[in-house]
Amino acid sequence: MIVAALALLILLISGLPIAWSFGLAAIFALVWEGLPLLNLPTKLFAGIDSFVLLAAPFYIVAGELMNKGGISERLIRFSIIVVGRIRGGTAYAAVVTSVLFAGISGTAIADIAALGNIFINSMAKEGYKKAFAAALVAAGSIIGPIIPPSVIMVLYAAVADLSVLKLFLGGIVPGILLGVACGVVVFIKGLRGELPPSNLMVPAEERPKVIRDGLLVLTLPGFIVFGTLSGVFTPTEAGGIAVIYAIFLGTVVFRHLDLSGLLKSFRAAARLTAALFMMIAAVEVFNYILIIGGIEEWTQGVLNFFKGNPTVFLLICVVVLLFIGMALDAGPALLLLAPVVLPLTRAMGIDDIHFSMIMIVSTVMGLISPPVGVCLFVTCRIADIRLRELWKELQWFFYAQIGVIVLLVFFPVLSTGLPNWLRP
Amino acid sequence: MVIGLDHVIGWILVALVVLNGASVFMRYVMLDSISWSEEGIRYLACWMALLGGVSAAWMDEHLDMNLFDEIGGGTFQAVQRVGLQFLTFIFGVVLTWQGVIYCMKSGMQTAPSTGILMLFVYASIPIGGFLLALVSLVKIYDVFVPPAISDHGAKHVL
Repeated sequence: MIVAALALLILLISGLPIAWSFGLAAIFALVWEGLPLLNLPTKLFAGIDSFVLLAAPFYIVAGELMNKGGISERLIRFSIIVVGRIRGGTAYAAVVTSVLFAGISGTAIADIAALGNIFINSMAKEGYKKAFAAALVAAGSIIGPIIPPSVIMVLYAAVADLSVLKLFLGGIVPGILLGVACGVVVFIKGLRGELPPSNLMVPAEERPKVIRDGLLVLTLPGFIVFGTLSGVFTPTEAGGIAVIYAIFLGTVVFRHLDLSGLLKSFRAAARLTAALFMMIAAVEVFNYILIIGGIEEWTQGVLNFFKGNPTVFLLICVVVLLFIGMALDAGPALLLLAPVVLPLTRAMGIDDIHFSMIMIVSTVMGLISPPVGVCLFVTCRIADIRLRELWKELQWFFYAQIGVIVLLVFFPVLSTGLPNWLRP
Repeated sequence: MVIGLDHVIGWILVALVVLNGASVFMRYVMLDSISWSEEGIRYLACWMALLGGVSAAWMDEHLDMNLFDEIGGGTFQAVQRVGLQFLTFIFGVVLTWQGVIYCMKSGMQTAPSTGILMLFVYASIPIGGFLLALVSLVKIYDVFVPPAISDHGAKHVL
């Protein structure tokens, strides 16, 4: 097991794609342990051959189509109506749009790509510091993987063998709280007079259309959650129906999509899905090595050490996950750690959804943590600023969002309340 | 070849959406169900993952840790690229080799709902592995002989 872990570490650091790193480390360990290499195709196939996983490409393509179908501007205008012309109004609109957009996109990068340019430029023109605008967009982007539909949660559900719907419901309150945390930072900055008054407004005659468009877009997450909750569809089927709805909105209602745009979106989504699926398949092979190598004995030792102290264990997990998230992307970190840590938390009596939310939010925070947070680099590129400038402004949002994780640790009801109340 | 592969995976995803939509439509509107739809969707997805993994490798879209992207000069970067592609090549070769053995051992089973030979599904593993090895070889070749760029910005090789 140690050999496999070392091989994985070296391969990851060398810059080899994460999927191939897991696969090669598993091959190396299989040879080292004298196990048949036939485990590679067997476990690899088992890792991909899952109906639950299929929700992921559907949500990816639905988000991509909604984005290309011109929803970003519609959601922003809708948010401006909601937030009004208060001091720092555009900053609040950015937060509200991030929360609403999270219900459509499912990934953090999609949020930044869609909202980054528009908000960073328009806020800079209004007199906001460019770094502040960029920090706000980056901090808001991590709400994407938390509020349903979430691609990361689908992958997590597949490897952890949990209900996608329960995870989706469990993510709603933490996602909103992350948005509120951003709002609190904006509010404090506003109190200190650091924010300009908003110039953005929607003319009264356009408001009915803006509200109609906004509600049409927001129907998508609602109908995924309520469709699956009522038992009409499985989460995977809901994803497929969401794609058809997104095509309908993009081509018939908003008329932003043509056939070539549609096919381009499908190809991009298929490539992204394939990259994610290959990673899951390779992680599956690697996890087999960990089980064979005696990971259970190790987890038993950890269990004995933390017996009777689940909260301390959770807080230590948060710190470790934040550090892991700084170096490893959220997807692979979750896929690798979930099957290892969940048996431990179950043995400690910690609710699966409670721990999963803490784990997902902590790891996703890695997307905006230096040194390798992907969202940091994308935001710096869009805003054309240096990482240091961005971090100077982003750190306050980061600390506020860490506060949300601490709340999640001490108040399990924040993540388990909705799934338990609705009992899917 | 890779552009063709990219179109193939795009159309597989379209087929997945259509099959999924048809399954829901049949169940609620025609009050009948397509018994093989779930299995069909899963197997198509396997092909999409294995072929799409190759397409994503060609376009450098796989996630990695990017620690050495801006370190060292041109020679260091070239050596690193060759090293990484060689490791990818080894992975592709092992996948092809073991995939072929897996197809020979289990390929004659039939799927429970669709009734197709599992060989047609498992074949995605050696084919995906072979194409991955091929792509990594071309990428190694590209390091030594940089490809010409066409008017449309596309690389000529593959």
